[in-house]
Amino acid sequence: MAFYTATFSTDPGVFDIIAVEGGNAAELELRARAALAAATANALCDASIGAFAAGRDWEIFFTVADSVTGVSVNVGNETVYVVDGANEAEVRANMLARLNADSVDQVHVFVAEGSGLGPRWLALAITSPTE
Amino acid sequence: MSFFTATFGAGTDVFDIQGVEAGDAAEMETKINNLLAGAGLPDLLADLTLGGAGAGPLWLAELTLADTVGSGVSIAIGSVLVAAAVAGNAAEASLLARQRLAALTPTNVHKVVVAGGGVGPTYMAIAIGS
Repeated sequence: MAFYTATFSTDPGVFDIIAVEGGNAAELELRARAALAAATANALCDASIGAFAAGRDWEIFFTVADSVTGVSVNVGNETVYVVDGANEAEVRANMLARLNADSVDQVHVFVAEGSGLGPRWLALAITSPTE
Repeated sequence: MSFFTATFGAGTDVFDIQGVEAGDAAEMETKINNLLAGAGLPDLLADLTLGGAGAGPLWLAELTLADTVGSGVSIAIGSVLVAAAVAGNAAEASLLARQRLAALTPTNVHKVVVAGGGVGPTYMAIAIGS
């Protein structure tokens, strides 16, 4: 975790916080990929997960901006992976299986959050090809 | 949270993600230290994130490890110092974790992360230094 410096604008095509909501990993991954495909800002510079305990409802937040100092990924070059699991081992196995299957080049973030009484863990990774 | 760039490799000694589940701070510290002292891991810690859930609650720290981190701050796993604390509010958890880290006499602090969980709720903080 570190800071980025993104030039702010009220124009969502220049600076935007994109939120997607879903009840499971597959749904969230589809919605996240679609949301970023529709983004018009240049760079993706942050991602996080929020959880709401009762219904296992999840939200993923992305920060995009036209101008970013710090590590960022050109919008359109990113691939978002979302997996879930009942424990640390399942999350790790599910995510590494996805990354290995796609022979990804580099990883930019990996974050997990929990929800529910079980609980259930949801994990997100963003990768990109080496440019 | 912002991004790092870690080179992915098929072997888990090149790139790995390791989760540590714990029910309290002492267990979290012990498990992370034991994990980092183990064999077969990549050389660098690129990130640590923390989530909490469940009624207990249960805490999950996720560590991203890689041999090559091209951009962003990373820490040699042999020099990572970990301190965790649980409290009834976020400020107290953060303060206790930083006090525990101070006792380890770090040169650098790289991150303090706080998560909430449980019904109370309660909060866990993890401070990472080197």
